[in-house]
Amino acid sequence: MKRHFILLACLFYFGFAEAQTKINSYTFGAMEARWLGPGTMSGRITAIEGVNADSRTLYVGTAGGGVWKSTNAGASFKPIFDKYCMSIGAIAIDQTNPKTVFVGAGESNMRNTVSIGDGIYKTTDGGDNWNKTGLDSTEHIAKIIIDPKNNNTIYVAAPGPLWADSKHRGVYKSIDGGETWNKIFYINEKTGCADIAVDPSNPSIVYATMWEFRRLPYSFNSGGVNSGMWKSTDGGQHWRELKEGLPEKPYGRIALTLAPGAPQNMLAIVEAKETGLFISADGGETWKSQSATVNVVSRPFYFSCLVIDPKDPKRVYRPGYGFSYSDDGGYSFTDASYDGGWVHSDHHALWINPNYTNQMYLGTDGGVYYSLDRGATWMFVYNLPVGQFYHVACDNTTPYRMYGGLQDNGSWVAPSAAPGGVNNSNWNFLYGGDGFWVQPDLTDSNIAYAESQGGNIGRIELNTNKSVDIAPQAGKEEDKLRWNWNTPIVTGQANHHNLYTGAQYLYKTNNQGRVWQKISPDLTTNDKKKQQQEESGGLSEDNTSAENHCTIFTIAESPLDENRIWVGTDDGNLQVTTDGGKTWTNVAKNYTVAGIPAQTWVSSIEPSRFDINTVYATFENHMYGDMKTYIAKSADNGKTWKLFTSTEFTGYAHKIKEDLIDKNLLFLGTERGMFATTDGGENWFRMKNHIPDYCMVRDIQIQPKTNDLVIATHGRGVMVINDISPMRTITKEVAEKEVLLMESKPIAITTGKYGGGGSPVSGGWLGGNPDDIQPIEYYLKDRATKDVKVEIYDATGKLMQSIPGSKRKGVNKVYWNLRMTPPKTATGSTKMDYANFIAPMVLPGTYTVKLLIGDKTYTQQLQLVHDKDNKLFSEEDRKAQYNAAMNLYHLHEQLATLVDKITAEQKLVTNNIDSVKSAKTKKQLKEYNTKLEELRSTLLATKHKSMFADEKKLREYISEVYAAICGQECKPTNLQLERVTVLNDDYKKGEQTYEKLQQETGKKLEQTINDEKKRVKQTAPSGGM
Amino acid sequence: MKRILKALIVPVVLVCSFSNLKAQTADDIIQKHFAAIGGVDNWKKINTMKTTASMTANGMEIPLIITVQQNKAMRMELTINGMTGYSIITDKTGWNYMPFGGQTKPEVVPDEQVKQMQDGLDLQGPLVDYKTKGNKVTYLGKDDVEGTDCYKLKVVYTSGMEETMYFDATNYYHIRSVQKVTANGKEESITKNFSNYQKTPEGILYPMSIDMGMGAMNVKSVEINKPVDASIFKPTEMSSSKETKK
Repeated sequence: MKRHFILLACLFYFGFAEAQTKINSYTFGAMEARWLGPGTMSGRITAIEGVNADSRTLYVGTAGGGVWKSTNAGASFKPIFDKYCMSIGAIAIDQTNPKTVFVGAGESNMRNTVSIGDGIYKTTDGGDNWNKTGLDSTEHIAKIIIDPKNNNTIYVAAPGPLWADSKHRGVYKSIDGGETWNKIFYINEKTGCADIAVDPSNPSIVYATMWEFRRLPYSFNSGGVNSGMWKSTDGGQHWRELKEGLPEKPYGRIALTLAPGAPQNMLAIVEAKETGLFISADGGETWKSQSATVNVVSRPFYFSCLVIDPKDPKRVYRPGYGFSYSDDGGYSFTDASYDGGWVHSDHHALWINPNYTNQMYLGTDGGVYYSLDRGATWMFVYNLPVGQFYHVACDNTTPYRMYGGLQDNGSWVAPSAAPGGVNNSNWNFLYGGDGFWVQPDLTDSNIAYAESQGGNIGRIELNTNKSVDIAPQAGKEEDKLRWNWNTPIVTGQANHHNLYTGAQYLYKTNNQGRVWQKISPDLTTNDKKKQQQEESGGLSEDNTSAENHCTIFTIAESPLDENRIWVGTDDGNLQVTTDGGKTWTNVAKNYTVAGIPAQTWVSSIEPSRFDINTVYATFENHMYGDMKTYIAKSADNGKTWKLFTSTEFTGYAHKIKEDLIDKNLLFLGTERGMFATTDGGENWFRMKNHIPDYCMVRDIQIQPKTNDLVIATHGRGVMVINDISPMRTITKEVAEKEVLLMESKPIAITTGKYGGGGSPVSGGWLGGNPDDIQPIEYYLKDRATKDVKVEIYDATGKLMQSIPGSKRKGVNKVYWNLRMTPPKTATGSTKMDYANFIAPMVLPGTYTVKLLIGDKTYTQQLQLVHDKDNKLFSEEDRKAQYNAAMNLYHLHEQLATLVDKITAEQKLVTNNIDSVKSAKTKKQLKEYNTKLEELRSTLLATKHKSMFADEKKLREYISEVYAAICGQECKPTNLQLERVTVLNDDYKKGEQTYEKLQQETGKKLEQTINDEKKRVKQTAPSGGM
Repeated sequence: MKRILKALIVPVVLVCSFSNLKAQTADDIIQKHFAAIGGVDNWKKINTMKTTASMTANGMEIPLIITVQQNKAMRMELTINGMTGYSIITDKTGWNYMPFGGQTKPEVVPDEQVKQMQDGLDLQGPLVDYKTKGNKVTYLGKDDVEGTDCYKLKVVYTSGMEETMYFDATNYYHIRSVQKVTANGKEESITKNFSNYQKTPEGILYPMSIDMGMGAMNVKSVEINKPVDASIFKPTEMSSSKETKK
């Protein structure tokens, strides 16, 4: 009985829910993110595969930006995986049917910030549509190999989860084209498969290297007795360990490869107590140790790529920390030259065109490079905007600048708008190393603060790019300072002079880092067991500050009180002071009551700007194998917490951001998506506004002047949603309306600030500009099925312009260029007159916007105002410009009418000249036509068609000065105004010539023709009886 | 009480189960689509179509006329500032004449492009008798077009061109197409949105608004099965009335 009630309640609930309009990302339809990129420094590349048959179709897998496809050998790329996981481990193309491609989600370069995947995907149409076919819980996939002789057989190397024990690792095989999978080799919950190879001449022979590894938040271990190299000769049914000639165990990660043309020849880099390069000439049965350069054997857990040329078994490539190659099968190696430019270090992928092995593509921590000389020199691909930003910040300049730091790519700054659109060249390098926090000094627009990993902080003078090291140092008898990999540098929200950073202690400066004050005791748990970083790495020592722990990870000053400061640590402490640091309260226990595990990373804190006691925080626990989304609110200064939940949430949480105006509008960035709520956290939705569904969102800012939402993604660069005001306007009640034509703020009349977009410079990335002119916005509850248009009328009711409207569900934007409808210009020329598309800017005043949908009309008033920001263009200037432009506008229309009249007269001639009998009349008609044509040819270009022949007559002269006056924000010059008079006079002369000609000749000839027609009619025999 | 509840719940549950069980197939969707737009028989009768339309650029209206003879030829002409340009695609070849930028004579369309555009000569669309035509249609499940729930079909034409078609799940109107074309050996996608379906005298429902990203084409009239002068499918230079009369 009870169950029935529940079921009934559910039915009513869902029925009710159905009736209400849900607010989601489609509610804000046309508010789409601009992808600023840039491609300048790009980001980490994890896989590159090409189609052998055409040598120009490439698939590039990235650490955090999904899969990108090029069909022109890299001249341009498109993202093709934006509805799915952004972290890519491996790609395999079925070369016998290259529209079939497999993507293994989850990078396998097991660094501290590596993301997680969610299985294996298959497309059969070159990437238009994807299906996930399994291995959902493997989290990391290192390699996929399709049997070259039977494309239904596929092998997958899955190292498996990094942060926890798991059964979901090992070697997997499909025999039905990837539809189902079987685990064919498994050792234990700690050991996965790092690499596989299949003998192309006998695909039953399969090699696998197994890897025991684990990360903790404070250490990394690569190595164990279960690691090793194995061989199967029956397609993976039975496995035999290969040992002969290999070093003593334990092993770490083993990279393995074979020569496609001579598969008995194999190479392996074996991570061991002494990591080495090994060669086998008998299919792995016996191995010989070789001397190897530092690059060949360095960081085996991170550099696992080893490739032999498809045609030449002696040519070996080792993309690693740098790029090395060998011409003698791996006995000796040479490093690539930097002739032509530096190649970013840290290499993870290499594709060699088998049809022309000089050509190859290399994936690095800083994008894709290609070589046309077998890897000796490299050129950079500038059009992949896959940078992994950790944080972003904005300043208050106009246009505002965006600052951010990236994985292995330093710290950068760029304007949010630039002439022609923000492109690669607008990004300026600020600071080296891995970049994280960059803070503009909001009190000094020439200063910014940036850092490299482990708390190396610099103050940078922006106009010279000179930096000064300002990192706090340990004082007398103080412990060694513990700096997080991603150390916070944070500007005060209440007092912009305050700058904070934190090791285990919190530091504050209010004079740009010249004097620091330590304003806290150790705010972490100071658990010594978590501070053994010098022993981290496993078999290969690897201590780069990436595992530093018991550190401060996030800092936030309340926007309402500079003495209220929140600090979160990577070991679970959440501390608050209300007296500027004199006393601190740890509220860590309080949040656990809400269901958030203890010792999580406190990934972001957002003290409310609407209520001093309200604070939001995100917590993330993925380093303990817990990938849940934790976001919570406290309304009592941290005493009690409410955990927000939503079925929409995916990914561990990085950032919570409260809107600057609407306290119910919150944004959340996680490892797998961007989310928002407009009702204070009751209902959340995934923001799909031209943001990949599972985008890694690390930081979110709102620029206060433009209301732009600025997003730092960890794999897709910086994204900006221009002006989020509609998210404040469209409440639940508003969303119920069928149509809403939104009120518009007064619009300053301008031709636009920065010009349009267009194509990027060759091989670059163009991030575009914000809207030059504020668009007219309307909301549609559902996609319009009828015709939609927007009409704008001036105060007298005259139609200024009619613009087709978009019809999408949610917010739509219509762009009015603040101009009238262009004039009708004279026709019948050999050339098109571009004035046909140019109209004068309208004057300031009240306009009426009518939104017409089918037979319904919605109306709003719109105020247009003079652009006071333009100091070189006064209101008087505008009037002078308008008057001159309108004079020429009318002149064009007058000329068009005159030319129409002439053309009509000429038509009279051509229509009758053959039928008139009188030779004299014929002659007169011909002469009349000649004179008309002579006149017409003075009024518009009639002779030359070529775009390179500059024929200018009255129409073209009018257009020349008309376009100049209309197109600029400036009072017309004296000579432009004089020219208006001259052109009016020229027109009058033409008009007089025509009238005289028509009066004196045309009328008479018309009479003659009519008379003759009458005569003919009268003399013609009448038809029939 | 129990019985009342059962009476309430059972039909609802049955309806839910039924709708879940009845999975959509490509043929279901195609059938419902044609039922919504005037019936497949009416579409099969179409042999010629002349569409008069306009586009707007910077407030200036540009008239367009598109004339198609079923599987034979297509001419699209547009007039700007009294000058007329055109594109012609026939079952054999194609020409472009766009004098607006200084082109002085018709230019031949490369074969690769002609082949792809020839698929557009089928006025009845790729779904009418698709099996006979050799087009392959696959149902790709539900997806959304900017928040509108749609059924998604992929059509692979005999030419090899691929088109993904989206049908509004509430009324089965075709609201979006994404065509994948190859230009210079490189893949490009062309997206078209269709709306404002109106009934013609012949009984078919035709989208009077076709948005191709550069702005909507508004259809003013559609003439079906009126005689078409075959000479319009041959290239003639017609940059201006004056020029042609000289």
